[in-house]
Amino acid sequence: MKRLILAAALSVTASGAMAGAAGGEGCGWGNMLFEGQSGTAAHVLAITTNGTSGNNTFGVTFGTNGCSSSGTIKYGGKEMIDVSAVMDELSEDVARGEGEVMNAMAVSLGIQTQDRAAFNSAMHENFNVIFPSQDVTTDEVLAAIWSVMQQDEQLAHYFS
Amino acid sequence: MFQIFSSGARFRVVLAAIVLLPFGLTVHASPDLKELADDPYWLALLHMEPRSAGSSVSFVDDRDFFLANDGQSNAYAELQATLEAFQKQPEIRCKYVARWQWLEVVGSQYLPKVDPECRDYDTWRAKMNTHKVVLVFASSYLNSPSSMYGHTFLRLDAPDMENNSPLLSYALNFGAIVNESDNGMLYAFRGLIGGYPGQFSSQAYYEKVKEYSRIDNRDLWEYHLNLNSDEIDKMLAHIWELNFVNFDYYFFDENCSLRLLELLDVARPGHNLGQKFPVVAVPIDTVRAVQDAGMIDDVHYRASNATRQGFQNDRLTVNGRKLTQQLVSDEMILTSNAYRSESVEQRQTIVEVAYNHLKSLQDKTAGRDEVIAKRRYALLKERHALAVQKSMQKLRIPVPIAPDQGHETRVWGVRVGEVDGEVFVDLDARIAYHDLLDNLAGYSPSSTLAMGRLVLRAQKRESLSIEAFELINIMSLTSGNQLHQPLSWQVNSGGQRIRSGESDAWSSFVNGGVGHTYDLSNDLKGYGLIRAQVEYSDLYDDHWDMAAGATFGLLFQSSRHNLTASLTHWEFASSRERQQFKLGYQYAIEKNVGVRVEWTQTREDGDGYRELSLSARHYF
Repeated sequence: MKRLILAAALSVTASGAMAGAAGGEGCGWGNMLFEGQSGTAAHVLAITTNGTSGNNTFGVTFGTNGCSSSGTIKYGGKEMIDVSAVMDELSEDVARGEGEVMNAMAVSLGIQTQDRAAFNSAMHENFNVIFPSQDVTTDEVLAAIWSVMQQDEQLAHYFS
Repeated sequence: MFQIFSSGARFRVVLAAIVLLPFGLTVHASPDLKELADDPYWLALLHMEPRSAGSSVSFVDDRDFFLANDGQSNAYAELQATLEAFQKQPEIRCKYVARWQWLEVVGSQYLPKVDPECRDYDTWRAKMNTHKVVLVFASSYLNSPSSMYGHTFLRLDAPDMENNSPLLSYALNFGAIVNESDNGMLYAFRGLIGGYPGQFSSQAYYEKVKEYSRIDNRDLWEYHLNLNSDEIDKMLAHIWELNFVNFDYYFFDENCSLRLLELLDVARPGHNLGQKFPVVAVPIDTVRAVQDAGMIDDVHYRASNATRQGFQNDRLTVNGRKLTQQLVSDEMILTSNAYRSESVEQRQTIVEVAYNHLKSLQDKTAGRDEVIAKRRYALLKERHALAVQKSMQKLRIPVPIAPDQGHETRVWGVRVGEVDGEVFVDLDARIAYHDLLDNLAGYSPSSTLAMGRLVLRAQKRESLSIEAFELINIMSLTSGNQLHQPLSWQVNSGGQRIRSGESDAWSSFVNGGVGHTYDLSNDLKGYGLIRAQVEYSDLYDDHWDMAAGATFGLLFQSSRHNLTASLTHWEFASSRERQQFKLGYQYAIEKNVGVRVEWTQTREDGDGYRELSLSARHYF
């Protein structure tokens, strides 16, 4: 049974306090839903340079957009998907009940194929708990997801 | 030497012989260092570009990559320096993993017996648990034909993708390292002329999808490559060597696509893909080269958010579209009778379209807009409520013809016609890329991106002469919908022969225009542009002239037939007037062949002439 290393701590404490542990400065765990992106001007002109957008370059050994790799949440020894980068898409998938980003999160958490449907349902049914307002932050969302999973019969075993 | 005779060593030699075959090198008992330095694989690892008189220089523009002082232009010196470094500082083999791996097979006698552990490489290699390599092609931005050149990068998939998620794969990208402080135009210009260094970098694929599908609204084409695990090993070992290594970056030739071809040459030697583009490396041409080398076994289409939005919008009734307009300004519309009386399915699509529009509005705004955020949240809650009632129907998007299946980049044609009663024959050639009449399959509709066009004309009375030259001609006729009306625009720079009465002369010009395009039916559009032009010609008293003008036109495009009609009027500062009415039609005989008919009526200050022609065009 895989274990979420920081899950217990996260489900108890809310936002700010855990931002440091989760990813460090500039990691985006404090980001709210529906954050803006930088203006399109830079991107239109990026046609001739094709550089990576905005994020610091970490060469080919890469970090996770400004997060120190020691700070990201590890799950089963692998780095979890950086939820702060795909918050909008995750909220959209959870509202809809299915989607590629929600699936990527499930895979990243190590949810086995037979439990994926249960994961999707649990998330979908608890949309209002996970995303209570437009101002919810990434770590609040994660804390809510851990809580939902722990209370679900089929998913609770991922927390043993 | 007596080691050769032990059974273990003999087995090793036989094994080496079998393993050597992919490197294309025959087994010698003791390969000469000079032979090794000339080996195409060694040259590929150094990114050597053959120059004249047998010499070659590396594309790498970074001292730290080379162990010899003259390593950049001397493959033999670099090989010697590498072997010396491996002997004297064994840990350096953990930086040059690909070089070590190759030498282990072809020249192990030159290597030290000690093989230190490379923990950093092993950790990274385990993380890059790559089972399949995907070549991703990002096509053009909506309303930005210049991005039609596209961009390529790699995606590295872990095993068992059926139960996995491609979003979690790593993307490997080569691009320019830019100065954030450079202003926009400098940024674009420096990318073209090589003012920036280029490097490889890696990100999660979901970051790339966000960048291209959402922010840039570019469709992605994922070409699955059939590289085996041994080939992937070689490629990754070399990518490790290129970490933080600077190359020159030139948009046209030393660009993202050329670098990826070089990586593929390291993975699977023998095709020399990197040598196939000495002058210009147009990304889609590089995809075609990979296709021709038999490396592609599947292709998957990933529509951008803008593309998806278009198809969602098509599902809406007239009322539905009206409601989306109201919703993006006021979420209370969700409680209105007009909205609630719509079917669940229609409401789902209304909410989807309104939400996506608000999302793209926010993406174009610096800083988080509180009002948009609040409205989006209300729409998401509604989406959730509707989904609980009834699962949202999956959006089925028809997969367009893949861009590599479109006509080739260059074109030449022979045109026969008559102007002012005189017969002529033209030779019309263009380096790149696509115009409104060219065979549409695989290309963005309603867009022109043309560069380097030359028309030579032969007429009875006259000697062969240059009839027209196009430096760059870009046109984007993107129509809008009830929520979004993008600007249509054009830019054209070149020269042409113009006739005025009995005389004719060369005229150089630059013009531009903006306006709007409207969908008149499925395949037919109408557009209007306000334009300005600066012209230089000996035909004019002051040589220079400026004009303001307008163009109105129709455009019909389908897989076989393309039709354009336009009327242009220019008023010059010198009080001259010019009108031009043009009709064009092209029939696509096959992918790389088309037949075009053109009719142009020009009136310059009362004097008119007409040109009618038929041409055969071949794309190559």
